[in-house]
Parts: sequence; C-alpha cells; structure tokens
Amino acid sequence: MGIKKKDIPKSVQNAILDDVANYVLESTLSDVGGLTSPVTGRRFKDLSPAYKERKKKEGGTPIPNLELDGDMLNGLNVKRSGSKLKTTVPASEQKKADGHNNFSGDSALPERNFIPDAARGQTYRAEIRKGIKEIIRDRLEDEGLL
Amino acid sequence: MSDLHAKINAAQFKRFREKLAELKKPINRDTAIAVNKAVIAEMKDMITKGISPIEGTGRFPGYKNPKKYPGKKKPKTPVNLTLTGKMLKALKGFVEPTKSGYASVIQYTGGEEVKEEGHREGANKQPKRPTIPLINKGENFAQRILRVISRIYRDRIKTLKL
Repeated sequence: MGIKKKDIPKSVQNAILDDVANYVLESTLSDVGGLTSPVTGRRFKDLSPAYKERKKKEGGTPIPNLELDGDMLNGLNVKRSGSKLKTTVPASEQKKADGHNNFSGDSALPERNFIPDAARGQTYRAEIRKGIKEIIRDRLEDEGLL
Repeated sequence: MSDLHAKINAAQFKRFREKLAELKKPINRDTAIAVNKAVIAEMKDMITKGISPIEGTGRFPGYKNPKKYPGKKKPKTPVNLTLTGKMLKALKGFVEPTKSGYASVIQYTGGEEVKEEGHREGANKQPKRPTIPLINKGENFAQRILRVISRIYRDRIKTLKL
C-alpha cells in the first residue's frame, strides 16, 4: 500500500487490528452459518444419517452448521494479541473445534475448517482476505496516511 | 421515522467526506437506494444466521430456557429473531436529502418497530438483541456491513471523478 508498518502509529495499528478482528469473526460466523468453510470456501460435507437424527431429536437442524447447542460458536473469539490476531474457542470447546479443524491430526471427523491452521499454510478464503485489505486501506485513508 | 433507525451518510466517513468536498458533487439518490438494498440484504443474512449486525457484538445471546422457548416451534440455535418472518420483512430502507446529497435510512416499519424496541431493551427479561445500531450513540454497523457501504460509495465516487 506504499506505507511501512513502522510509519503507522501504534494506536492506528491497534484500531485496524480491532476492526479486522470483528470482520474475521463476523465472516467466520457468516460462512459457517451458510454451511461453508471460511478457509477453503467449499461447502461443508453433509452430516452422517445417524448424526442428522441425533440433531433432530435434540432440537437442532440436521445440517452441517457446526452447532447443536451453540456453545462452540458462541465462544468463538477473535482478538488482538500483540501485533497479531488470535482466534480461539473456550477450553471447554477446544475438543469440538479440533474435531472440525483437525489441528491435532487425530480427528476422525470430516474436516469442516473454520479456523485456518497456520502450521499447514492455511489462511482465510480470498473474499475475506480482500475485505481485510479494504479495512486496512480505509482506516489508513481516514487517518491521512494514504 | 422511528427513533430506532440508522442513517447512513457518505459524510460520516472521513475518507469520502473529503473526496466529495473536493469533487463538489453529491451522493445521488440511486446510490443511497443501492446502499439501502445492500445493507438490508446483509443485515437479513446476518440476523438469520444468528449474528448481530451491530459492531463488536458477535452472535446473539442464546435462549434462557430453550425448552420453554423456542420449544418445538423452531431450532434452539442459531438465535435468529425469526418465527413468522414478519419482523425481517418489515426492515426497510428510505432515502433522505442531506448536504452531501442523499442519506440512506434503515428501520423497521408497519408496527414491527415495537419488536426491535423489545429486543433492544430485553423485554420480558430476555437477553438484549438489538439489530439496528444507534449511530448517534456511538454504535456502528458490523464490519461486514461497513464493507458493503464503503464499496458502494467508493464506486460512486470513482464515477464522479470520470
């Protein structure tokens, strides 16, 4: 963008990160709600017949929206951590999150990634990355830095 | 106009305010209508997925007693503020003349404003789940919606420069 990070005041960097954090959280929830991975952009694999029945019995919708009670998605958090962003779920939900994202490599479930695994070179899909760039550009323009 | 409305104006955004002042040209009615349509579409998409259209809020809080409500009326998640669909159908956009041309105004109509009041206040001891940001009280639309607005204004300003 023609400006170096060191030339951006810390307060502006923090404001940008906060805006991006909100955007990433909203986009993740939106994609998952649309049964799509915010990482691959592909539709989640359908549920097994047995799990569909279980969801129906427990008052859920028999679709791969990564929620039954909603605890994991309700706890999804994207926050500034130093000069980076950290995406987490509460400790009580991490096993479920790993089940879907397979960070451990031990999950037997179909992968339904909603958090990119940097160790595997994953990132957010192109449209989300585009939105992030726009947020940065807009904030820098508002601050008179572009 | 209901008190619970959001007015969106290019002049609210410093980056556009300065460019419009420089060009000495306004945001036209068609652009304000385009903003209305795009914002309402994104709001409805977010709300039906249980996501608040207000910045920094994330998902709507869950039901306090899902066996009682929603019971068997609908799934317990996501909390999507939709039972009959009347409230979201009543979410409308209007245009209003301003110094910078036209502003877009988003609000509920046809009596459904009462439901938004209830969600904002947490009526009947339910968790608060407002959907329209009170911009004059420091609330803002979610970043996904701000992206949509920014793109439309930016495209319009590009055409003004030609």
